[in-house]
Amino acid sequence: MIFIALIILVICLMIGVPVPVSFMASAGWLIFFGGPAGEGYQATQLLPYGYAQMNSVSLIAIALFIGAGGIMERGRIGEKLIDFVDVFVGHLKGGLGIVAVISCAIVGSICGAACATLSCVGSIIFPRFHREGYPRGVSAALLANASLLGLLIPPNATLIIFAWISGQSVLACFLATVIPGFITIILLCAVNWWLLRKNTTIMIGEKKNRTASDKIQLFRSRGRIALPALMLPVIVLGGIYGGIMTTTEASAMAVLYAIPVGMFVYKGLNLKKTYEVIVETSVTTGVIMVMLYSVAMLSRLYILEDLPGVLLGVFHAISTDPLMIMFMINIFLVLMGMLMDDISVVVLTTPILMPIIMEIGFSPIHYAAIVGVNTGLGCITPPAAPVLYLSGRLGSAPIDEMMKPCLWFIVLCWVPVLAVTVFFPKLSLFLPHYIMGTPW
Amino acid sequence: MSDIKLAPDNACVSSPECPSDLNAPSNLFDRIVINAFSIICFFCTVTLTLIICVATFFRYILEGNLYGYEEYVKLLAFWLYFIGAAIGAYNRTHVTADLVNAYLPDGKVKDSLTVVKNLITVCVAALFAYYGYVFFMFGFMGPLGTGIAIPKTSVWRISLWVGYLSVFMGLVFMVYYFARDLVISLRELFGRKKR
Repeated sequence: MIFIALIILVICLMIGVPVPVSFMASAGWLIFFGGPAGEGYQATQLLPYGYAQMNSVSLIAIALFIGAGGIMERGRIGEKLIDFVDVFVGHLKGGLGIVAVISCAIVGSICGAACATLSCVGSIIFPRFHREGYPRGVSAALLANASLLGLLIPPNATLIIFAWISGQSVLACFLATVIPGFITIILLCAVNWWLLRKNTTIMIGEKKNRTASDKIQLFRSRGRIALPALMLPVIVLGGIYGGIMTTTEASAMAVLYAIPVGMFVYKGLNLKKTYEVIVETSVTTGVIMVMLYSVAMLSRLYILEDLPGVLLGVFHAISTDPLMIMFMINIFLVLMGMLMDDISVVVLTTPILMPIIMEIGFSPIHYAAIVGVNTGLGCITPPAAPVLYLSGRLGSAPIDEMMKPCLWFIVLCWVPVLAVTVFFPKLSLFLPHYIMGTPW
Repeated sequence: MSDIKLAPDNACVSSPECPSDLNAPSNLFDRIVINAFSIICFFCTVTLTLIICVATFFRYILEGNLYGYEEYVKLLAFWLYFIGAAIGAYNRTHVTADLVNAYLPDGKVKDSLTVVKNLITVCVAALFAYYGYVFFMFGFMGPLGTGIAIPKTSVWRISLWVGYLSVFMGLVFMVYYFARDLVISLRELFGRKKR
């Protein structure tokens, strides 16, 4: 029966049934025909189970971080952050690419979602790319890849969901992706420089002639303007990592701080726009949360049907080496990421793969880092590469112009980061171990 | 994956991860429902943000405790989630991995597949809306169905059906808007409404 439930899930997803309803369809089959003797399950216990699972304060952080991201975008907070980062590296050849990467890391660390980061940073930085003569394909591919840093530089919604499903500490999962995230930032900047090293169309203009005193002057003036915007990551990251606030409290503080800054300091928001952005982000939240509710119900049925045991049996039939099984899991995650968005991949695969990860002796916190990098890689790999397509449209770049640079970013950046994350567990476990005492 | 659309100002508007542009409701019923739901979402977001911030302030600055505040916060969160999801069904912003449709040329086959997709969506969502009704009645009438021993929260004794109602209402309105899409796709298939 479990195989038919999986086939129903795949067919529903492929023909375009909304993901939460696809999960419900698969669960519906098991409700009627599941169980050891095909007698089905008690449907009336499923919704209360999903409700109990969702009845968690930590999940509210997802709603509030999405809200904070929307407010940042409309409140022109992101724009001031980008101007400030430009002071440090804007004068270098390919420097605007580095500005884009660092800005995506900062904005992504607050709003924690790739598309929101991309639309926030992209709407500001693409006109600047065009002005400075950057090749359209390279700039759009760079921003698509950089926007995924929000998946690695915490806090982010995907890891909160992962921690919630797998029953791990949210903070430990956040810390696990920090070092892979920083390696990704460095590699993205390096690949950006390498791709543009022989380019002759880039014009840095007056930035090239900036003297040290100009830079200090700019640092002061832009720093003063950007200070309220810079306080936002300080509140969120400092609050969480300083042990002052929980993730949910930091997210609420981010919203409460961002609204007056967007309204009165940068004047990007008024009452009407604030109302609109809050309602719009509520809809985004609702769409994600219903998906979580349906996957909570479905994963319970899959566990009752022992799907992880069945999958482990399949893996063991191929190899019993834990590293080989981990390699297969990675291939599976990348393939899933090619077909679905990051949150769908996490909600669908975590309840199934987590028992297997435990069985083969990998740390769940290490696996959190692997999931973070893997979903990032999946989001820019066609056919379903939402971030890539969005970046192409924001940057007016045809997909064929983006594919070659994007392939370089995948090969020289994401694949190495994934490899070191998988094969060097201490890289991801170092911070959770030293800050929280998580075992190696 | 859902198509990602861009607003005139190049903002991302149709992805689960980015703010979605609200289409203006065309008829009176939708206008009332969507405006009311928007107000509920706004109220829930603002109130739960304020409650959490006040609780944080009490805990870390005044070293006090807002006892049982989580009960109100979780209740508001459920209304936010499910009413937001109902607006998502109206806006067609629920996440899809629409692979077949993306590669099919326009025509009868694609229209038929859309009808099948919408039919499955409506049937499954209706089944779970029914389960949502049973769930709500469990909270409203109690486990014996007599209105006695109604389940309540432990601190503030808030009846749990208040939260269960959001699940039921959200699912009902999702079914309603999925059914609207089914009717539209049937009209397109049988040629009563041109693309």
